[in-house]
Amino acid sequence: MIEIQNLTKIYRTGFWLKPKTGIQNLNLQIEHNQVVGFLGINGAGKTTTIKILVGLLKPTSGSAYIDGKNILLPESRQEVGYLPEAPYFYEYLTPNEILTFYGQLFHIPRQELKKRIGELLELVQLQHAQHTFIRNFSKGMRQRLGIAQALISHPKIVILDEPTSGLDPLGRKMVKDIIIQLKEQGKTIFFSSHILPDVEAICDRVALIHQGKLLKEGFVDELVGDQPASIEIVAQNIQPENYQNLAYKILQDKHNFYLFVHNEQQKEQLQEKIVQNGGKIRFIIPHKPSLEEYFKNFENPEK
Amino acid sequence: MKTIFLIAKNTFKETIRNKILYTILFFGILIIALSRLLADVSAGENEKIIQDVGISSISFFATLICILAGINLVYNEIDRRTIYTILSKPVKRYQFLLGKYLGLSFSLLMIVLAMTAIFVLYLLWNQIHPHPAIFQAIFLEFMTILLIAAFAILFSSITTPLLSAIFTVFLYIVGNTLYTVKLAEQQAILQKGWIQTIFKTLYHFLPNLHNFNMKVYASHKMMMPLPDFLSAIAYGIVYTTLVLILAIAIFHSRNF
Repeated sequence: MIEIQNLTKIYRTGFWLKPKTGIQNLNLQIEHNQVVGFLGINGAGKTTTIKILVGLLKPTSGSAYIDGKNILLPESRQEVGYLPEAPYFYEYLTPNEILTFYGQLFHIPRQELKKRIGELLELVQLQHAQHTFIRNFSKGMRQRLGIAQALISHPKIVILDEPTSGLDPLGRKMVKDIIIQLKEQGKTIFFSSHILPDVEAICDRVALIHQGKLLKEGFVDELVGDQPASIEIVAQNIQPENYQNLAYKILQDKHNFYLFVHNEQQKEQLQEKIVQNGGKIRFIIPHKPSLEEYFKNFENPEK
Repeated sequence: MKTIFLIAKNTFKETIRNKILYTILFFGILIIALSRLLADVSAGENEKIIQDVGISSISFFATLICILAGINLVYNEIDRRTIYTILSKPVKRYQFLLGKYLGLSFSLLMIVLAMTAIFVLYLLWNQIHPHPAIFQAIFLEFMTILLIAAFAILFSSITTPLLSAIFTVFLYIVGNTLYTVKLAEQQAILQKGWIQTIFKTLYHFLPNLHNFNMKVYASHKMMMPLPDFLSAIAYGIVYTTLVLILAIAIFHSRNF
């Protein structure tokens, strides 16, 4: 379990050490065996919170506990696996060497470690590159290796900072599958992301952070709402000028017209009119609100 | 202790896989090999010149490697973010820093041993029997290098490699000239007043590397008196420990 209580981080930047708030009075509780997504746009305070939890940043005030152990103590990290955002490794080592090094930092016995490294390289699909120097790795391969190192000690709590960034669609699917698998193994997973569909697919709960403050916490639908932000109607055999007062945007390609409306009521009206005029509706696609759109409404969260 | 050893082992790997090190080492050995030429062109005292050049070459090039490797050691970990995956594990910050220091020290020990071995072989080839004072002198040079390595790690933890290099080289030069300043003061060359106060303060706080310099003894085939030798070792250990404690204290409060 992770407990964050009134956590504040103020950075001192520049020559005059001007204060800049990273996070402010953050309270969050992550229960055992939950997958919690930590959402926010770039610079919202996600990485700051995570770095404090894993001991890389010192909080200005407040406290946090991992399985009851204060995060200021290195012992609190015994059961934690952490993937930094865009991870870097010693370039002069191979995945085998680096995973051995990380495993030894947890004092894992040699035979067990060898077996574990084999399992993890298979999990992240890096067996073919196990003896290649990391300097020759692509961004995606480094991310996969980062996930492997986070899991080296069979941690009970896994903290991942932007685990799907830099990955191709197959890599993203792999990460999602790994998170689901970890959940089935009874682990607690806390991960940050700014890609809403990734989060929606795998999270039990989400926490939203904006400008260093926790805005909301709960289920994805509860937070962003289940109403679509826009509805797209794909139609044929229509005269677009007849619909300009109903649709806020009309696009066209060789075969289809794409009409966009804001809500269900407008969609019904448009649908009826198209059918009346002899047009043909091919698809109706509701578009869920993106996280960016959602956060636009929080320019002033107190309102 | 095991964690410190693991980080040290990794740092050693990092240092010895650095190609620049071998280039510097090559030049160090080249200078030793050329010492015979210098000896031949100077009038007499061939043996003394070969020994002087040899010990100075080991000292200079090992110090150069120490500064180049040391100033990057911690900075690169922070800059390249490799530190994230280490300090987020159950590793105490002092274990990390001491591991880095020990790894660097062990690499430097290997370099000094390799250069000494080549130097001794070169002496034997020139039919010069190496006097034990040579080994005593090289040992004390190594103590200097250990102290400089501690400073390099301290600066590397708080600033950029360029500034670290400037600070470390400054300390190395000042440390080697403090003794001359002291002599000047004793001979009343320095006028009384604020300049003297500054020099006195510097003399007491900055490392006095002259304590480790026994090339004069070695070139005259004389052993350093045991009390002086032991006090130099004690000075080196205490000073290095204090610098490392300061480095750990600063590193402990850092944000990454």
